[in-house]
Order: sequence, then C-alpha cells, then structure tokens
Amino acid sequence: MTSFVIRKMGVTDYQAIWSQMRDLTLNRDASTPDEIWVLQHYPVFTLGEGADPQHVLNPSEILVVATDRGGEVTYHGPGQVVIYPLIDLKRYKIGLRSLVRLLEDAVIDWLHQYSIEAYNDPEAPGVYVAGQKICAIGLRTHRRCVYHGLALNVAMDLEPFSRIHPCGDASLTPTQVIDWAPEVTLLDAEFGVCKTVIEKLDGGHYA
Amino acid sequence: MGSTIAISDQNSHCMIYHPELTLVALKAIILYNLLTYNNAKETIVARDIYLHDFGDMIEKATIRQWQVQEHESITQDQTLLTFETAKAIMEAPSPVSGKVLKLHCQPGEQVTHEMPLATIELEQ
Repeated sequence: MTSFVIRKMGVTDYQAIWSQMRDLTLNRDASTPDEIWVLQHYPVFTLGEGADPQHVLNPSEILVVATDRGGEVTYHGPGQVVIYPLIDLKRYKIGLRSLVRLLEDAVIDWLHQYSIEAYNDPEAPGVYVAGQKICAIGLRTHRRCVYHGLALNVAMDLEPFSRIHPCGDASLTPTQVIDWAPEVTLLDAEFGVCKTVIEKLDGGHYA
Repeated sequence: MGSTIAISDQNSHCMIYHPELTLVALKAIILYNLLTYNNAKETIVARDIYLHDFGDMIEKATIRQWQVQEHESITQDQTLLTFETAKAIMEAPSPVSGKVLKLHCQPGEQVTHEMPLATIELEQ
C-alpha cells in the first residue's frame, strides 16, 4: 500500500500553484512522499512548452500563461476539477506513457460509474465523450518525478474554450460531466477521480 | 620503382612488402605498428542513446531542447534533453556517465525509437 499526501486546495491562482509544484518536484529526494493535489483554478489559458500561441484566438480579459508542461493550449476555470499527481515514477516502476494511460483510465472508469460513455484516443491523449473533449492531460517529469496533471470539466462555464483552439485543434469542442449526468457534484468528481487514480497507482497494472 | 607500403586503415591494416624495401620504408612500418599499438590501448567505448533508455515504451517523440553540448562531460542522471510525447514533457536523465560525442537530432525534430538521439563515450 502506497501512501499519499492529498491536498484539497479549493479555487487557486494558476501561477502560484505552478510555482509550488515545480519547487516541490525540483527539490524532492527519494524520501519525499508523493502528493496528489486536488483543486480548481481561477480563469486562465495555459500553453504547453511547444504550443503554438496562435491557437489563442481572443483571450480578452483572461490571463494567458506559457508553462513548462506538455500539450497545446487549454483553459482552466472554476467548476473544472484539476488533479496534479506529484509522484515519483520510480516507486511505481511505470513510465511516462503508462502514466498518461493510467490517468485517462482513472477518469474513464469514474465516468463509467455514471454511465457516461467516455473513451481515450491514443493519437491525442485526453478523455472524450461523443467526439467532444471532457478531460485534458499535460505533464512534465524531472528525474522521473511528475508534475502538472489532468483537468476534468465538471460543472463550469465552457464559453472561454471558444476563444482558443483547444489542444491546437480548431474542430474540437468541449463538453462537461453535468451535461451527461446532472446529479454529479464537484465534490463527487474531486473525491471520485482522486480515488480511482490512487487505486490504479496502487494496483500496479500499468508497469 | 621503389618499395610500396599500402595501408588501408587503422583497424584492418594491410601492408605490401616489396623485396627492395628501403630502410626509410622499414622505419615507417615500425612506426606505424607502434602507433596502432598505442591506438589500440586508447580504444573508446561509446553508446548510443535511444528513446527506450528513458524507461518506457516510447515509440515517437518531439525533441524540445538539448541540455548538454557535444564534447561536454556528463554524469549519470544529469538531464540530457527534454522531449515531448503524449502531451508529456520529459526531462530525460542520462543512463550513463561519460562524454557527449555527438547529438544526432535538433530541437523540433520528430524522432522514433529506432533513431539514436546521442552518442556518449563511456567513462572508463
């Protein structure tokens, strides 16, 4: 049984959290416990390290932050559950690619509990429902320790996604959990996805 | 016609001795043998680095940035480069200590698991 420090952090400023998780990862050693951060962000567009800024069409009043994660441009805002697995991959004997699959499966399994037919796309990591994107993934590793994570649209204002080409794809539209299962709350999603992520890390089936 | 000494290369040397070998030519042969002997003692052991060195079945990736330069000495676990695969950026740690002989790809380039990314002379 692996132990995790789980921090539920509420609605947070993107840059403050990015800097904290970066500090934790760059300064951790073999004895540092793994942490899972569960939070939301105030409205912000974030670009991956290799992202094309032209995919941000009209940010208007919303802040745009160029980050050091993988992936293209995305939007974060209240009502979206963000999970940052700050873990040392060496402990689980899994690789980066397997972790991406594990996070996708954790979200898919949880959505299946509400009979939402979610699936992944090996060519474009993330989770989709009926051709629309419900969860984005972007990660970085430093000495095989992970930061950044996943963002699941639960009960939010999706309008800001129309101001970007999400994940660099002009034809991709977003969806969210309450459009498919109106009874689901943010708390359900925060608790439920965090739990499935931990179960999968503990299960050791992704080595 | 004088004597002929033909040398193909250092690894598979080939000499043709002519009956009328001059003293100068003989000296050249001795010097050559001495040099190849010394070279043999300085054989370098180098190793190519592939995507699969980074602990996962990564089939393809996009190079983001090199964190080392050619001729630089590096230690195991030092970050060699960053690359992106499946929306994840990896700061890829060197599996070995040694000296960077050659970087085989450029930032922005797409690479596959069959392509060597760098060649590293191993620490003896």
